[in-house]
Amino acid sequence: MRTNCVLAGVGGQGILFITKILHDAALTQGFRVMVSETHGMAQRGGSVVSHLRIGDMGSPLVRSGTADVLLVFEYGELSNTVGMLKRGGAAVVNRPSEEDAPSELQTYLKARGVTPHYMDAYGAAAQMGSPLTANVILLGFALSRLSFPMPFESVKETVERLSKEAFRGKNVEALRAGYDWSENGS
Amino acid sequence: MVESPPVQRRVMLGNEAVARGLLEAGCRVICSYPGTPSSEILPAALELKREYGLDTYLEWSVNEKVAFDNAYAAALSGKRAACVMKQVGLNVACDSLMSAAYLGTVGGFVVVSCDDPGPHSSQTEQDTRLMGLFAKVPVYDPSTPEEAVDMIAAAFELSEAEKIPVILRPAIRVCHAKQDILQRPIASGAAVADFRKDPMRWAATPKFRYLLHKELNGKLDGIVHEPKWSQGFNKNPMEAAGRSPVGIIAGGVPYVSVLDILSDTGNESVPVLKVGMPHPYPRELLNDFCTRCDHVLVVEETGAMLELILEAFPHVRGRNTGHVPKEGELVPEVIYDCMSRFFSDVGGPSLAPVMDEKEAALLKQVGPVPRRPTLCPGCPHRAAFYSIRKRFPKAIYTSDIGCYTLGLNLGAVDTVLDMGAGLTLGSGFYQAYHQDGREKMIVATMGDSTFYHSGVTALINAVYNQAHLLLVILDNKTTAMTGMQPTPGLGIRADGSPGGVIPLERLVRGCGVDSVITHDPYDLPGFMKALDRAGEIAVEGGVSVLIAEHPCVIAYRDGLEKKTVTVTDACNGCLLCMQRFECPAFELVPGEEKKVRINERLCSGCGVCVHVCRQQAIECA
Repeated sequence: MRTNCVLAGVGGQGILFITKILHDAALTQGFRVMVSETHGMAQRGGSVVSHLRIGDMGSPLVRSGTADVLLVFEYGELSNTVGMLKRGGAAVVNRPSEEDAPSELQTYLKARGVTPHYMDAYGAAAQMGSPLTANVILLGFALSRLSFPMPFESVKETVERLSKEAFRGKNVEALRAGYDWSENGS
Repeated sequence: MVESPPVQRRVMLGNEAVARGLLEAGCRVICSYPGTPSSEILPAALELKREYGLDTYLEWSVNEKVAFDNAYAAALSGKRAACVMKQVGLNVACDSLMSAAYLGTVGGFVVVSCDDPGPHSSQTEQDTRLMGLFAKVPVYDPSTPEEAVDMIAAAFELSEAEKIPVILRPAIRVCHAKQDILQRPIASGAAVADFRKDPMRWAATPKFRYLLHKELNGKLDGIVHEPKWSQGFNKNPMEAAGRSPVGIIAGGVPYVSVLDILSDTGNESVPVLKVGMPHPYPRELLNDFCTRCDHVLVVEETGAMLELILEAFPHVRGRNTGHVPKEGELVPEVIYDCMSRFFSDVGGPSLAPVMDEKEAALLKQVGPVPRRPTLCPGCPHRAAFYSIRKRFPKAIYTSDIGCYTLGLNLGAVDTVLDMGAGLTLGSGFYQAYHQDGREKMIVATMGDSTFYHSGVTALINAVYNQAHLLLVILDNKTTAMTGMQPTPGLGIRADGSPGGVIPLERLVRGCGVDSVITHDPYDLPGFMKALDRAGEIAVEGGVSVLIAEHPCVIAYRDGLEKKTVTVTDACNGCLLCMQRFECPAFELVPGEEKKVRINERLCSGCGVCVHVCRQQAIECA
């Protein structure tokens, strides 16, 4: 079994933190993991991409066009990383309500049989009064829409374990809120 | 509190694994200069030192040559020691490496040099394996973090047994990969410093160097013929009398990508020779594999070292036959294409493309727009570069290696060669123009850490040879690009303990510069005046230095004073703030092309932009 996952966004969004939650949760479930991260100059406001592979594999990089799932934390990064997805793959995308998907992107997603799941994680985080938890909200949303080999509970425990004391409560709340989020705003 | 589950395996960053490997092998001394992708190794070692209560000596050295020599002395004293740097750092330490190969070592001595194919954060894609070939020292080339740990143990044993420095070359996809790794016990090395004098060796004159060279050649011969040094790292899957129509030779990170691709596509039967110890190169193993395969593809990073060794075989393909690109990182999709082309040329298995032509054409239409790196919102360098460009629009801007290379985006960086060249190219340009009777304004920029690394000798040279230039030292009180390591200006050592302080201003004066001004670039109008003054002095009197002093907004983010910045209706959409000042916290109001607003998630609240807007449309409170 292999799950190939790509996480994309920009520097400062806490993508390394989300990657850590996922790989640690996978490890507690007894899976082997391999991750590749962005450090250095690219972090300075540039695109940040993490590759996460769960199961037996050699390379830390997901081969382009073979990712099972894609998590996009900054909408503009979707067009940069959508080519990573395999045919029939699934994506979870943070899309502020004011943004519209360009038609070229929609055509590609359709041709490739990719299911995109959108939510406004910035909006949801602002509503909860903790704008910094947008990343964790999107993770919760991803767990409800995409198939990961780890159950929600194990990810939740990992969030509790890895969060700093001051953010623990808020992060768990954010994860739950993302998980329970629905398009008609419940 | 939630308790950690009991695990023997821990997910570790490759660089953490390297640090752990060094300490598991009983390494007592580690010296390093930060540089992507090597920077996390020393901090990880520090954490382990604390966790296990070790007495390991760890230092951030002033540069890589200094790191090499300091660690090497510990090895000459009989201890296991390592120096850690990025691949271009080894250029700085190359002088020492070449000579240390001749002298040999007493305690195990490992040089960790991290390669950056791509390059992601370097000025070249150079291949450390070739430095090993050049210097005549053994090289281990790990494919994964886990293998790096095993190779470090072997490297120390080899180094001690054969009395020779050994290189470990982890590439960026090992350094910045994460893998679950079995935690082995940390061994506390017990050797006590005991330097045995032997001037014929440690201070050998040229006549004796010849003998040392001969001895070195003998060591390499012995190493390549002793299977235990490469056992488990060089792997030949072919049986004694086996033959195959196709075969692949690979090492380092590309090796695991090749295996993944063969397994993804059901082609596990294709034999792959792994070369984990590329130097001294296993000629017999390579020759044997090549004679058993009708067609061979070599996939290696980042040079063509093995291919060069196999040049006599016409059926070997790789970079030199156009089957593998000669530049760029060999990421899995590139390797997939290489293998696909190779197989189709020689009648091997066929690899289907992951995307059909129609899909590929549609993806092209999506038009990826990669973000270029920029200085952070609130970065003091932005204010400095903006001012430099404003005050000296016709100058030649020589700059250097660090975050501030991104002054490029503000049009205030013309050259970036290597560490220290902001000054040396600056004085060189001055002399080249001066020779023709022309006085060209030169503004050199250099960060504080880079100045300590290799700016000092360059400044002395500029003063000595009477260049006229303005050096702006961008003093942000840290080594920001590589992860906020302390500098000698702060008097804080790697472990946070107090160290000697070398204040920039005194150092600059000590290099013979009379005119040194320090000013905070956040005070944009005042900083521009300081630039004018320093510029005049440079034109009249020679080298003039302006220290642009303001702490890095990331390193010192706690307790940062944050102003509320807003754009008023006076904004006429000239976009100077977005294009010239280039702060990422500005964005267009959605649906409008000529109206700017502040993205509050990104704005640091520095308020410098207030002075930039010609319409006075930016306010801050």
